[in-house]
Amino acid sequence: MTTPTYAAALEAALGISSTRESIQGIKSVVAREIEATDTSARIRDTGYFNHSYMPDFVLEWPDDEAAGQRFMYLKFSGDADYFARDVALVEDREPIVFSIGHHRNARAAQARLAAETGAVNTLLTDADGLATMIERRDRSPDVRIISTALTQDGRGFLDAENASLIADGFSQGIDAARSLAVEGTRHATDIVTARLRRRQSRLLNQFLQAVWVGSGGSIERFPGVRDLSGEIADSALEFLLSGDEIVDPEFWRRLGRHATLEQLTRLKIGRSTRNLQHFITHNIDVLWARAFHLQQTTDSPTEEPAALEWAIERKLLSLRSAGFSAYFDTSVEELRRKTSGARTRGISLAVLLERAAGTVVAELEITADRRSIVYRSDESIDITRDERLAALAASLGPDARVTRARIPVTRDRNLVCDFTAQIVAPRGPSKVPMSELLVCLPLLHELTSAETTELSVILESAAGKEAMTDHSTVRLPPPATGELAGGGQAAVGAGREDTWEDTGWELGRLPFDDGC
Amino acid sequence: MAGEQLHQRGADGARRAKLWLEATTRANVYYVTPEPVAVAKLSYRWADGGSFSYDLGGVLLGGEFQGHEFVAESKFYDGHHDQGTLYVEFLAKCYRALTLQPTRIDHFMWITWAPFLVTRWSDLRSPGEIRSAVKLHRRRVFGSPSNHPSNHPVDQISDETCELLAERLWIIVLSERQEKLVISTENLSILRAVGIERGAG
Repeated sequence: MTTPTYAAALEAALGISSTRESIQGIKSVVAREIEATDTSARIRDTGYFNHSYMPDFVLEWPDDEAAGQRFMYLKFSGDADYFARDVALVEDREPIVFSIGHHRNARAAQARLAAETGAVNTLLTDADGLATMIERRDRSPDVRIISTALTQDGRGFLDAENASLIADGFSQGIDAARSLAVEGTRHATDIVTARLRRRQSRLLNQFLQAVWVGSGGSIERFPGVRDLSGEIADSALEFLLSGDEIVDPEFWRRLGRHATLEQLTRLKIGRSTRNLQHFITHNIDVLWARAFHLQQTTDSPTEEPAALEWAIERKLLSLRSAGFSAYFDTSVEELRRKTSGARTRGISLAVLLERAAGTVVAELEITADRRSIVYRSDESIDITRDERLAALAASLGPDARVTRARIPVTRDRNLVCDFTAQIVAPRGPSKVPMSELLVCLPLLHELTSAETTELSVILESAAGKEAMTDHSTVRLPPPATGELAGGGQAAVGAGREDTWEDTGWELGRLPFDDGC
Repeated sequence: MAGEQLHQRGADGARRAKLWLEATTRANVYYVTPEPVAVAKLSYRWADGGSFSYDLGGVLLGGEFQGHEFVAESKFYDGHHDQGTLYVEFLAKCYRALTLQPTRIDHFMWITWAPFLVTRWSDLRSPGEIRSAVKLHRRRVFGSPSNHPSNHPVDQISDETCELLAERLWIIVLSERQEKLVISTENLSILRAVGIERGAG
């Protein structure tokens, strides 16, 4: 919708003779305009109209709890003096005041209002102001960051002219930060400081700083409010992940320094983007997850010819291929809630041995006919090459299935791979870098050679960073030793009927978990 | 008082009436003159071609009045001045508005800061007072006699409409001190939180 359309629709609604229909029409136009300005906002109509104290709308951001609520008042602005007094009545809540109609006089009054509303953190806008922001936003995706910030925390006078200046200044500032141009970047940080209340001002300053530092600039030379927390706003990250492809690995590493899985799963960026691939691949060692759940699928990745693709779906981060999706989350409970999948009986020992080539397996649970054997090594020695293991499995008959395996990834950290629930998680309540969890992916699903190659690239990227940085937590699993595990022990478990809950990750009561 | 001052005082009165009505928590004043949109919304045509408008319009909230539409004329006067004359004219306006749109306006309010016609105070909202007012302004209410076959417009005054209007009439006398005796700023914040959850509907 272009600039005149909202104003014209508002005029038409004002002209409806029925009071009720006229007000419904006015509020409908304004709500539509807010929705187009900020797609992340949820707008609640209070039922009041042009009330001195009660807001017309309450704006909330379901995906950004810290944003809180913002009141929005509709006020007639035919008389600038009365309009200013009306604004003064509600300024304690630092609301958005949307003016209906036009000031009779105007420059002096507007200048005064601009100063007053800026000082009290109120955003004063109108149909043309928001429409201009929408128009810029539709033309240039980077304007979305500031348009969302303005609905949450905007202040001052946002008419069509100011909206243009803000949108252009901010958009050009991002380009300036990418090319480390001081003046353009400073202009954008000045806009952010002057036009936004504290929270969004801080977040957008952080965003510009992230682009600046990601582009190789030093934080000391950043021409804005320097921030050492490294946080980046959801809207800013959405913009970068949805935007033109940036292939510089260092850019994504710098940007992802404080990335979290929780933040990624909040983002609305479509299912998958090129930059999401870069971002995850280059930060897989700093993104911590509790578990992943593998589901068989028949979908194809959207980014051919890649065999593996990162995506955000069901509010989960997933690694997808033509045959499976591996969903990562920071909570097993949430993972269970958001995904579903039939339980399986496990896999045969032969299949496990084939998939486990090159991976150390220190403990196995083999089940048949409601009886189970747990076979483990005294130390983290690979038992898959133990000839006695095959004999043990054979003794359980042809229905024997491997139901769980323990994979040591570091001296004190083990992953449990549950073949019945198709879930991998570390023992105990901890989270681990996603790069560690991914080591078990080939055990849960037989990968194609292309998938294996791409997984290796991802894991090598994490390993490469470990080599480069002293503080990295990445530890790839040790290579198979090649020696036979002579110290295997077998424990026969009582038959039990597994349930989804039973196979959660409180494994301490099972002999399977006694080993480490 | 100069015309411009009178105009300003009139606008102040309408605005003060809005603030007071909304501070009672029982009203939402949508329109206040001289806001151009409000003038258009609150205007009616006399039968003789002229027009008039009310100062305020909106809805009452809660209880027996929930959703009722009202209009009001405000007189921010420091004495009775010409209120007697203006009130009589107001009654004729209301009769005309009710005749034109019988189902639109549920309440007609006269909001003043000074008593007037005190010797007839108890009769000011009576059907008889309304009939007298309409009779006085009959040319504007019904148009010129040539427009009517009977040539006796007074015969057209409806007792039923006079009684209906009498039931819908309010006279509210405010004072500047009373304007301050409303909900406190602290309680307003609490009320606002409750109000937006419950809504005005």
